[in-house]
Amino acid sequence: MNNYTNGLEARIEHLLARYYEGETTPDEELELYALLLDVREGEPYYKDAVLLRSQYERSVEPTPVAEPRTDAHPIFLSRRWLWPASMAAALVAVGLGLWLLRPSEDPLMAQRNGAAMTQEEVNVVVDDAVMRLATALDNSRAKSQQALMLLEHKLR
Amino acid sequence: MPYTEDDFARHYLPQRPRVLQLCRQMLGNSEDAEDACQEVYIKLWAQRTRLAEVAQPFAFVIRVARNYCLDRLRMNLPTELSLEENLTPEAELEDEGREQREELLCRIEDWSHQLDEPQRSVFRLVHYEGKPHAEVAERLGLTEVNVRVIISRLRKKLKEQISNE
Repeated sequence: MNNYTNGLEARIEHLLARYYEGETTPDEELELYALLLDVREGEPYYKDAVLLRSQYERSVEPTPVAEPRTDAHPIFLSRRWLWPASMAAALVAVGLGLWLLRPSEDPLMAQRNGAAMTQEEVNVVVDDAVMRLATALDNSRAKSQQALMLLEHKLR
Repeated sequence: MPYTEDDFARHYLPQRPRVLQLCRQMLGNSEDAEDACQEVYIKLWAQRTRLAEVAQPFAFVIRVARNYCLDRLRMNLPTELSLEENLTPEAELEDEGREQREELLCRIEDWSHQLDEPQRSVFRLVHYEGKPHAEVAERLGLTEVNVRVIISRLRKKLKEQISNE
């Protein structure tokens, strides 16, 4: 039992199917080139043979390749950093918000429009601020997901 | 002009790794592949006076190795290797117009230069330099799936273009 048990043509068809799906290994491509080496114009597999010949019979200079695509996509849009960056930004925002809106230890220091506020009033204002912050974070998360979907769409 | 030892070393010895690769792939066994490769080179050397007729040493030695492996697979035995049958296609090719074939391969290369990035780099690294998909993906900052999809699309497109020539 070997790769040619079902005949030469079956082997060629099998390799060609994989070749056009980009699934062949370099070993299989060399085998395919060898099998189609003597195909002439007008015969079956001629176009496939031309492709394979261009691969093996054309010596070209090493290719100066383009820079990795990370340059084409700024780092803040990079998929790898999107979620860690979002989470770090959210934590900083929450910390800053809580610190700025913390209740004063001295009730007389908490004022609104110059009027002193009771602890209960301060608590209401803080609750309101936290709710607004949570809403802003939800919006931010939704936008991050949109950016991620856009990035995935571009990568396809 | 007689075909010299230097000519043989220059034209055929550098092809040995490819010949071994092909034999291994076709025979599926490293030991048999080594035997086959050695047999091919012994026969080439023994009949080297005929090699002056060969225009494309790489294609020729690959053809010889392929035929040897196919015979071996069919008969499951080492076979007598004759260069005569392998020389014929070379001679036929002269009549069919080597220039036309060279021009076609040249046009394919020009086509690859006109591709946008990253398709251009993917095609050239895989098609002309034989780089594995994983290496190409790493070099270009892509995934292996990206590389496979790009090369698949370009091969299909190129075949279509050859159809329209």
